[in-house]
Amino acid sequence: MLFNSIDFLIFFPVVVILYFLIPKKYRYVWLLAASYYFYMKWEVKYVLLLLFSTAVTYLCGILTDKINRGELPEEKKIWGKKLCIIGSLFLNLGVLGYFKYLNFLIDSWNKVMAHFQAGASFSTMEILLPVGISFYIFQAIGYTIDIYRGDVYAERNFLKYALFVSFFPQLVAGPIERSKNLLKQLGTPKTFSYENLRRGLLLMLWGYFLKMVIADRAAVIVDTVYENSVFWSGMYVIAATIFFAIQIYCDFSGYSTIARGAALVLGFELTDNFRAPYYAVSVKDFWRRWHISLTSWFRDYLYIPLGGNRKGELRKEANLLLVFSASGLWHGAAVSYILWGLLNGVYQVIGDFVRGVTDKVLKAHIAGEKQEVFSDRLLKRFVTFILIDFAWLFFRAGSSVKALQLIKGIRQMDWMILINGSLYNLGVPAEYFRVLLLSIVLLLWVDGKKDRGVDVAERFLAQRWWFRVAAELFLIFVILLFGCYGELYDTTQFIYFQF
Amino acid sequence: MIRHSLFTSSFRGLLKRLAGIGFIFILFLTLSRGMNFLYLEDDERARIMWHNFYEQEENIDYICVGSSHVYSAVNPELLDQRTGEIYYNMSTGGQGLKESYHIIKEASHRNRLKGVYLELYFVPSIEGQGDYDEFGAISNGWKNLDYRKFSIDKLDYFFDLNTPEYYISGALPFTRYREHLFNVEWIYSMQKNKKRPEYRNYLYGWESENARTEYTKKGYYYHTQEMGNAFLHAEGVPDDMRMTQDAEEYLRKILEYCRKEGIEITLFQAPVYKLEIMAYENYDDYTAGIKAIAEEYGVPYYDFNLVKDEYFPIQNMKYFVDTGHLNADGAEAFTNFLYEMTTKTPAQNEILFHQSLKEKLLSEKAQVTGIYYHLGTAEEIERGDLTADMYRMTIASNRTEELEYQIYLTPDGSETVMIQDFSENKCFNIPMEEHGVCRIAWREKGDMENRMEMEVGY
Repeated sequence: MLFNSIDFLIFFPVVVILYFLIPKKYRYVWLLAASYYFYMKWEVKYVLLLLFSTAVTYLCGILTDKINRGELPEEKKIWGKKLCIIGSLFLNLGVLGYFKYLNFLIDSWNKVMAHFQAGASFSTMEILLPVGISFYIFQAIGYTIDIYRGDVYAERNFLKYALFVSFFPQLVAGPIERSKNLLKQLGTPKTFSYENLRRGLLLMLWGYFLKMVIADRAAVIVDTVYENSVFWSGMYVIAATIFFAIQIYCDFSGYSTIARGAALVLGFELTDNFRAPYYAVSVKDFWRRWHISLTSWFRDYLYIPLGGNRKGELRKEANLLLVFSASGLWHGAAVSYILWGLLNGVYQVIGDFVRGVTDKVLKAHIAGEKQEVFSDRLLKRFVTFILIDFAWLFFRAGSSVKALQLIKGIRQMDWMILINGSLYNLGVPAEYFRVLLLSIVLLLWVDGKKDRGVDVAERFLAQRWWFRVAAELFLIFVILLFGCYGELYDTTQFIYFQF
Repeated sequence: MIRHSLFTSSFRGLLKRLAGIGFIFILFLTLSRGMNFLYLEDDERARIMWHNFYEQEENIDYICVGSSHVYSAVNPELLDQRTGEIYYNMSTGGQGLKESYHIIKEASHRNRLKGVYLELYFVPSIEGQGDYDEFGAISNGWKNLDYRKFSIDKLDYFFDLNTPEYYISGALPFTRYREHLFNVEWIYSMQKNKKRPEYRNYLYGWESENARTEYTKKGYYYHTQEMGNAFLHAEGVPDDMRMTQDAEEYLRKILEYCRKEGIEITLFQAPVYKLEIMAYENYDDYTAGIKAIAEEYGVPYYDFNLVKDEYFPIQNMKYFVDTGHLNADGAEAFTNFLYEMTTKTPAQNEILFHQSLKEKLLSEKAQVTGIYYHLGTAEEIERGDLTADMYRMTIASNRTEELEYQIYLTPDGSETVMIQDFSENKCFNIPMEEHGVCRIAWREKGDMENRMEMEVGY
């Protein structure tokens, strides 16, 4: 079930109303049933995978917890816990590997064999990627690692734990929640709160605006260029790649915002997955603001266990490259995704190196600390955006060959298309194009506030009622009039569902 | 005391919030209505039909439902005069059986209906428009949604008509016109139309030099002009002329509903100029399916396209405005004939009809009715029979083998050319942009002395 489908607009109020009507102690059961129904609307049989992952991590969690609390000798404890965590990782990553990476591996193997003219090739299999598998498996694995480390206790109630893995607002595209946050909240019955309702609905409205008005409209431009990359070149590719940066941000943050809003209406606080990422002043800063729940997952469960920055500069940079390559692979089973991840890692390695040199130069030549001014930040943001956007080109291209073909095309530059109306030929009529640009300006304004630490929703809700009503109705009508839905549009799914 | 004051304060808070939500909702509806006023292009006939229907609520005894063929064919005022009962014509353009079902329910809930005349024009019930989950059928049904009063029945129709992806377009008509959002000309033309006194007073009609067209208060739409040319654009004619599953499902629903409510129902086909049914070569498959269902439910079915000329000589161009619709004279003749039939039993009426189109055509003397044409199908283009910029013309005759045809074309501004001397072939191609006159001569094979001719403008 998509958030921007009528099914969800019917499903959600029904879930909320019944949730608050049901006696408190059974509410989580209702939410669990609703979450499984939500997931089954895509493909009924894949609910078995969700159940499998839930059962495996639940049992591993219980066993690990028992070992933690038991009176076994320390050595045996460690071995027992290791056995549990390895079992959990093996089974969960095995499922993920089979559904997501097997064909990629077969394909890569065949290419290598073909290159060396060896005959041992395999045919790929018809496997449909279950929606949201990377998200819920990572969430479940995170839980078992937390127990392994003794950071949390295992949840004894299987249904409550199953709800933690499958909670419908964040089930298929995150945020990837930690047990410390969500499981704890799910354990506490919630009472209806008018404040949560209005704040949650406001977040949902903003999320729909991001998805339907900006992301899906920008997608038309991006698809026009990227689907016919031979035909479009130079500035068109650059413009489309800039729009892709906007599209993927609004698509994903739109989903996350709707998810946060929906959860808040039910009384649950989910992690904010984005913090004005295009206001980042460096690539490192960007990754502190983009898909925060995944970045922190990789930091806590991969980067730090690999040694993080505690084992010297060289090891730190190697860890960084490894983690970002893994992050690329998490996004998709293709070389272009690995290249995208690696490129982001390389940016940071170079950034560390350059920063080291500039710091030394500055120390040697300038006495005292130089105060950073607006123009410094503007330049840094501009450079960061160009670097990030260049990496997005690999991400969107889908294959390294196509990405290189697009990059070659960029050499033929025709700046005039930016002002002579040629961009209107990319599938979005002039008026809608202007509305898209205005919407992006609004987004940047909101993100600018967010970057300065302002809670925009809080500020908005503090306004006079007439202003709120007018603004909310305005946003609703903007979505109804400029949103992509219905018979005229092929509504694109949320991009991050495929991961 | 404390409990009481807490209750009061929270109750006041609740009331305040509910009032706030109500206010936003009303504001939203008001703005939506404003947007509808700016952008919605009305279906004038449906708008007036529903308005007048609600004005005559509780008084209607009989309704006629079906496609535009019915609003051009049945004059309820004439039936009122002759029967002393109250008739109302609730047909709308391209009305499918799903729409008819919900219209009958609405009419039945607001009146003590005695009878329903249900027309079963084939185009909305066969492959194409007869697939009710397709956009064409859904959007056609919106006109019977937009002007209905709010009720549970309307909600039922809303959810039955629209698949989920069309809920927003169905509920908020202005969103269907989003592509015109910045089109000032569109807004201006909508406003100009809606500010006319005729629009405000639910009047629709116009008068030209020698003809008048008007939509009357009882859902009857008449034209006084006569059809001048037997030439028909018959695009997308399917081989399979049987009713779709969707259409059959709703026909059965209608029959069961009427049986349950004790409403007498008569199934019929309004007459079209026979060129139209000749273009749909497997027409008999369609009628055979309906006859079987009618027999199953024990209800009468009259196909006025199969009526014998000696009883009702309607197949004359003077009774039609075009190949699909009767004109005012045709409607008067048809309504009177329909009335005469209602005074007899179905068994008595059976003698008036041929059993099939094939039988009817063979009962007539060999002749040409006109020309129908279509764009080349993919197979025809692939075979090289014609190119994509040509129309495929077919001579509509009531014989498959006995006749041979001579064809002359006189394109506008050009000399007459004979493109075919007497031959059995009925098909020829014409460039899309070409217009002129086609003269067809025909004779029975081997009969060198007797020949007949007709001219068709193309």
